[in-house]
This record gives sequence, C-alpha cells and structure tokens, in this order.
Amino acid sequence: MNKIRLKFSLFQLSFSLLCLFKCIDLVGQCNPYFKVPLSNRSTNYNIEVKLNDLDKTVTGKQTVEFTNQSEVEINTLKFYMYLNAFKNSESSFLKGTSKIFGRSIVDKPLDEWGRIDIQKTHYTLDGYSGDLDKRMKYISPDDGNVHDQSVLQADLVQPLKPKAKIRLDIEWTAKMPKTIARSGYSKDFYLFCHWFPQLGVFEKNASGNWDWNCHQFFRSTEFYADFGVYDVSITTDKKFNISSSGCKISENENMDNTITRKFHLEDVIDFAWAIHSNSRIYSDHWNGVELEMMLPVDYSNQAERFMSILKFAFSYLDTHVGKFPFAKMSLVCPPFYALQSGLMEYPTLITTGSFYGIPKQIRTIESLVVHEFVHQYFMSMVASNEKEEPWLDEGLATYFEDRIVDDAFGKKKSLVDLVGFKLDNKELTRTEYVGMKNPREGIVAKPAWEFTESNYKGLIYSKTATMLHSLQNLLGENKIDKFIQSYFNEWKFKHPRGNDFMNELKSFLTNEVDSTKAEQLYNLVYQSLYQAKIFDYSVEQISNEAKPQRAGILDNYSIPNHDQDVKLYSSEVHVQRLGDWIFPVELLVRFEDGSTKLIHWSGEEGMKQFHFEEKTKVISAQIDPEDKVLLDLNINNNSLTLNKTVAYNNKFTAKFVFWIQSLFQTLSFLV
Amino acid sequence: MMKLCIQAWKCGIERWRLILQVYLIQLILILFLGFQFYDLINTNLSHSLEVEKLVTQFDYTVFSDFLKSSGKQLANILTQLKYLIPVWLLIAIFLDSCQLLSVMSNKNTSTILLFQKMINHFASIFKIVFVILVISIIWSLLVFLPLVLNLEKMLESFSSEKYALLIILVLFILWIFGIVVLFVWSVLTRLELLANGSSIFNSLRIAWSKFLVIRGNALFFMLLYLLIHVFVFLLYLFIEGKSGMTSNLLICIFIILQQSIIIFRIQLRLMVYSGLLEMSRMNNKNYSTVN
Repeated sequence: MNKIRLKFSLFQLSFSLLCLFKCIDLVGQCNPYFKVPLSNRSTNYNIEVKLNDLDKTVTGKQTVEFTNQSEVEINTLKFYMYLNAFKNSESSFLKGTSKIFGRSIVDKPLDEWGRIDIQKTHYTLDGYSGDLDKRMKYISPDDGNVHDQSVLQADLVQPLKPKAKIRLDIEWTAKMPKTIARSGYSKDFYLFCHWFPQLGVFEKNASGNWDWNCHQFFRSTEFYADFGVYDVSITTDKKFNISSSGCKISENENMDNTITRKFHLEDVIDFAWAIHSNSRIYSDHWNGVELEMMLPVDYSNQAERFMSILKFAFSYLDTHVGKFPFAKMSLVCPPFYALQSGLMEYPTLITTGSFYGIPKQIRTIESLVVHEFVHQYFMSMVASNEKEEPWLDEGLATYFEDRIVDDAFGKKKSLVDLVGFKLDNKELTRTEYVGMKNPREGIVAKPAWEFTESNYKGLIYSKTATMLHSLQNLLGENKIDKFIQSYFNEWKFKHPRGNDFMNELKSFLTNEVDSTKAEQLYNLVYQSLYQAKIFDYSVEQISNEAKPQRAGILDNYSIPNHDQDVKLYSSEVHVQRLGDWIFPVELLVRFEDGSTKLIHWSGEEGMKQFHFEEKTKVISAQIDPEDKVLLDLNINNNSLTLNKTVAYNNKFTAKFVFWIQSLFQTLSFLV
Repeated sequence: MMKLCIQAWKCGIERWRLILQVYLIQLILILFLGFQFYDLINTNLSHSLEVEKLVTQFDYTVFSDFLKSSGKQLANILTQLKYLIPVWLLIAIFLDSCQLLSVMSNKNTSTILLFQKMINHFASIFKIVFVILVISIIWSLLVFLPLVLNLEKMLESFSSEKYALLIILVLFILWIFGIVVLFVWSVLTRLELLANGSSIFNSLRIAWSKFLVIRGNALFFMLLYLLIHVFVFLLYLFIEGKSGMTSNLLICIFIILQQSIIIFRIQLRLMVYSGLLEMSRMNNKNYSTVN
C-alpha cells in the first residue's frame, strides 16, 4: 500500500514538475506578466469563449472588473457592442450605403448578418449583488439612430463610488457576420476584434466633466477603450491555426475535437484574435520579443518579406521612439477573400493584406505591415481616441510608415521601383493630400465620423503626416525624434488628446528653439490641424535690365566718363503667396556669375518684389530651396529659371512619342 | 522554317524604302500630338528648377504636381487620341495592305505604284478588315465579358486568388491565340483578294481553308513574331532602367534606339506578311507575283 502511495506520490510529483517545467517553458518563451503595472488597469477582463464553426456562433462568459478611478460616482455603465453594427442595414455603421470595401451588402442572406446579445449580467458591488438584465438598453448618443445597437447602457442599482470596484459576470452569445468590416468570417478565416461586450472609457470630457466616452460605430470610426488585463480562453475546432493578442499560457485538446487555448495580456486596451485553417504559423524573435505570423499557405513565399520588415520596424521604432514592452507581437495576414478583415491594428496584433504574386519591387506588403505596427506605439500604448481624434494615431502612424519604409528601401523608390517607375512612401503620402480635389475641404482635428470617404485619408493620414515631415525638415530629425520620444514617454499607457499633443509640442519648442522659430513651428502644426488653409508660394517673374549709363552734366560740370562706369543690372524677382496660409520662407536667388543670395521672406504679402542691383543678372529664384515645407501644394511653381532645361523637354517628348507610336503599332495588329 | 525566316528577313531588308515611308507617315501623324506635348511641358514646367530632378531620374513629386496643375491640358492632348486612333487605323489598313502588296510584288515596285494599286482595292480590303474587326470584338467579349461579370464572385468563391489569376492568364493567352488566328486569317484573305481578285466572302472562305492547311507553321511563325516583340520591349526597358536618359548624349542615343525599335517593328510586320505568303505559296501555287 505504501509502495503504491509512494508510486502515486512520485507520479504526482513528476506530473507537477512536468507541469511546472511546461509552465516555465511557456513563460520562458513568452512572458506576458509585468512586475509593475504599466497602466491604470481600470478594466480587467476574464473571458471564456467557444466558437461553433457550423453556425458561426460564439458563446461567451466574461467577468469584468471595473474600478472607478474618477472623482465622481458612476450610475451607469456603457458597453461597446460592435458586432451589432452588422445586425442590419439600418445600423449607423451601414446606413446609407449599399457597398462596403466595394462589396455589396444589399443582398446578404439572413445568416450572413451578425449580432451580439447579452443573456445575463450579474453584478457584485460593495458586498451587494444582483442582475442588471432589466436595467439595460441600447442608446445612440451620437446620431439618435434608434436602429443602432452598437452601444449598450446599463443603469446601476447603486452608484459606483470613486475608487470602488464593480464586478460583472456576463453571459453572451454572438453570431459572427460574414465579414463586412474587420470582425467576421470569410470561408475558413475568422477575425475577432471588438467581439465581446466591452466597456467604454470613463474620463473627463471636453467640458471637464466626468462621463463615459463610448461612441457608436460608424464606417469611418475605429476604437477607443481603457487599459486593463485580459485573460482569455478560446475554444475552437482543432483544424484552425490561431494567432492572438497576448501570450499563450496553456493549450488543451478536448474530447469533442476542439482545442482550448488560454492567453494572457496586460496593460492593453483591447484583445483580438484570428483563426484560419488554411494557413501557416511562422515564429521568430526580435530582441526578446516573440514574433508570430499567421499567413495563408499561398503566401509562403512572402513570409520572409513580412518578417524582415516587421523586424526592421521594431528596430527603427526602438531607436527613434521607445521600447516595445510586450513579450509577443502577432501579425495576421488574411487571405484575399477576407481582406476586409485586414489592415487594422489591435494591441500586440496587427492584420495586414497581400495578394498572390506581388513582385518584390512593389512594397505594399511592407508598407502596410509598418503602418499597422507603428500603431502599437500610437493607438495601443499612447492610446488616443481613434474615434474623436483619429489624426493623433493615424497621422503619426503614416508619418513613421513613410520614414521606416523610405529608410528600409531608399528614398524616391521605397514603395515602387518597377521598370523605371519609382515612388517613395513619403511622396505618395504627400500626393494623397496635395492631390485632393480641394485640400481645404475641412480641418484635420475633428471626429472621424465628420469626414467623408473622399477626404478621410487625405486629411487625417496624409496631411498630418506631411505636416510632420515638414516639421522634421524645419527642425531636424534628431529634434523631432526627441519631441516624439517626450510625447511618447509622457503619454504611453494613457489617453492623450489633441491638446496634450499641442501642449507637449509647445513646451518642447520653447525649450529647444528660439522663441520666434518656436512660434512659427507651433503655428505651422496648429494651422495644419485646426485650420483648413492652403500653403502655396510661387516665383512669378524674373526680370533683368541693364542700369542706364549716367548722362547729362554731373555736379562738377563734367560729362560722365562711361569707360569708368561699372555695368550694373537692375533685377527684380516677383514672388506670390497663392494660398491663405502665411509662413516665413526662404528665397534663394542665383546670379549668372554663380553667386547666390538667400533671402528670408515673412510670406505675409500676397505679392512681393525683391530688387537687386548687381554686376550680374539674376538667372533663377527658388522659394524653399531645400523643399522643407512639403505642405506646399505645388512644388514646381516654387522656382523659376531663365535657363530652361531643354534636355528635359526632349527626353519626355521622345518618350511620349515612342509610347504613342508603340500603341499605334500594337493597335494596327487588329486591322 | 529557318529558310522561311531567312527569306522573310531578306524581304524585309529589300523593302527598306517602303518601311521608312510607312514609318514617316506614322511619325508625322503622332508628331501632331508630340508637338502639343512638347509645348505643354515647355510652357508649364521647363521654367521650374524642379525639372532638373527629372533629367537624372523619375521624380514622382514633380510629376504628380505637374499633373495636378496641368492635368487638364494633358488630358486634352490625350483626348485627341480618340480621334487620332480611328484615323490611324484607317491609314494602317491602307499601309498594311500596301506592305502586303509589296511582298507579293517585285522588290523594285515603286511605292507610288503600290499606293495607286491599293486605292483600287481599298474598299474591298476595308470590308475584310471590318469583318475581322467585328469578329475580334465578338471574340474579345466572349473571352472577357464573363470574366468581368464574375470576377468579384470568382475571388470570393475560390480558395485562393491565385486560381483567379491563373484563369485570367489562361483567358489572356486564349484571347491572344484567337486574335493571332484572326490576324493570320485577315492576312490570308487579303492575299487571296489581291492575288486572285476573289469576292470578299470567297476570299474569307478560301483563306480559312488555307489557314487550316498551314496552321501549325503559321502559328509558330506568329509566336516567334510575338516573342521577338516582347523581347525587344523587355530589352529596351532593361537598358533604360540601367542607364536612363540622364544626359544630352544619352537622350540622343535613346531617341535613336526608340525610333529604331519602331522601324524594326514595321520591318517585322513586313517579314510576317512575307512569311505567310511563302507558306501559302508552298501549299498553293495560286499566289503568283503581282506585277
């Protein structure tokens, strides 16, 4: 008996050791625990979820522990119910459109719509507990749309006092939609983002009052939530590969051909996951961070491209912005038929996009990976409100996307370098702004839902990024890095607003540059974001005239001796401010003898004439000769030369003629 | 086949005067647009210092700002293509048929004489071309219309977009194949009409029978013709990518290279006509030399 006991004890011991080693092994690979919390951890989630692949439903049980970190009592709770945005065509997300991402939503069969319903909500607060089921209602705080159910309000039985904690046990079911935008399924691919009832952010609003920030979902809005700890247990069919936010803590196969994986993640604002059966998982490391990629099998030959640019972006941001503190980073590339799930950012998980056979010379894969990864810094860690002030994260993400991609693949050719056509990321960003039909369509710093589909990207992403590039050119790379580092360090794991960014900039400029320049640069940023002015300076005209020789009788009654006269030219350069944006600019004037003059112009006058009296003629003039202010709508009119470049005319006319000749010859094949 | 190719090459070389004349006519037509283009960039861009960037390399910023400020004027020039292309196609029918007539004629036949003879046949040739063009359009619609209508569904229903790509590739090859067959048929029909003066319908019928006889060699010959085109263009793009038109000397060299390619393409066309004529002759002695 003792022997049996001893054997059993030994078995128990070895089993425990095995579990311990296994646990240590897992933790060793990916340790999601921080010794000291990085954020306020106001909202912590413990979620168990099971997916039924047959009917595309999800059943979930979750515990939410919310601590009131404000100075006021809270009487209601507000939840995001994102999946209800896909419940019908009348939701605020889908209303007024028949197509999303070019795909029709009109003829959708019933089983392709999505929804999320709460079955039961039990609360525990100050030793009291009860159900909140009958105290819940859908609200539409933004547009009053009674058909929209993307925000749920629960009225508390008793107020939640400052510093007090409420625990909610929620049971819910969700029907995943066939993917319309982000969350949903497409064949064998699922993305789960904003997939559970999630609390909004209780914070001070613009008027300084504490309130819930929990907006409805619109087509142009993204996400905003508070920091917390996530323990998520996910059960799916075994056939699926999974990639998720956070570290995998355990994995158990079940008797019913399913598998349960548990994940843990701390100090984040959201938790996302994706599953795909026809995919491959790739693992690597960067500086102690585990990198995991889930790519469709067909994209195997692109794996190296994804991984190497991800590592490059890690390295770049580590140097220029700050440390990435999390233990793991996941990258999910949905198959092309699920592209609507791609191109988004979630804490420690990004979704990208690709296409079979994209040549290496077209680097959209890399550009997308970089953009989404930058959001780990600006959205995930510096958790600005993507709904109310999308420029704060999208602008910075685009700015760093340009810098990283250009640094990785070379300026002027970083994005495309194919059969003579070259284009860099920064140039494309600038063109998206200056190429808008009307670049003064609106201001940048406004809520996402106030933009139209035509000006959303040009203003939020591109104008902000172009402004930051201009700031970089005027300030220098080191200084702008220093500013962004200070902004990042001050606001990581917090929720900055536009004002905080501007205050940070003001204080940085005050300390780093002289007061005049500080004011100019601050105004440049301010006008870019908060005003809808346009920037366009041009050189209109250059004229040279030989100064007339002296004539008549001089003071000493002598006749002028022309041999002693120095031949002088009276030259004029006419410059104009075509836009309403006033900014001091430099004017480089070049003379025939090779000499130059750099003139500073306040840029205030609508038109200005600069007069020169020199022994030599002016041959060219150029405003902003180093192309620092990329916000200028037309770089070509910034300069004027009297020595036209005929070679250029010949080159491009020859090319034009050659390609038209070739077209004609090809067409004549038909006759 | 080698003998045929050599003979076709010889024929092309021997008719260099005609080739140059065809080239010049085409060039004059296109220079109508070329001068406008030159004027546009000369007026709107060449005064800017930014242009210097374009001489050494392609500069997207300069290019896109130019398009933004002068895009409408450029569009106006390109819009003229709408009218110029039909005019060119009419001229091309005439010139191509002159080339056909030339390969059927003595190598010393003057261009004026060829043009005079072609004026007599133009109406009939035009009808043949029209018939073939209509068939080409029907063929293109048959191949591509189902694809265009179902592309979105295809992308959704296939497990990978690579199958859609494969289908597009197969359809494209199929389309090219059909167009090549129609081209050969058109050439043989015109040869039949010019040689024997048959009616249009008879010419089409006889040419089709002949095509069926020589189909193997003819298609191989056409494949060679297409491959040479692809090779020439890839080579051009490679050379331009490597060296670029970055100095006055290189610009001159590239202009010569570009125009040589255009002339070579005309010669290739003449060689194809000669090759197809020879194939027909080998199988049918009806095609005597036209005097």
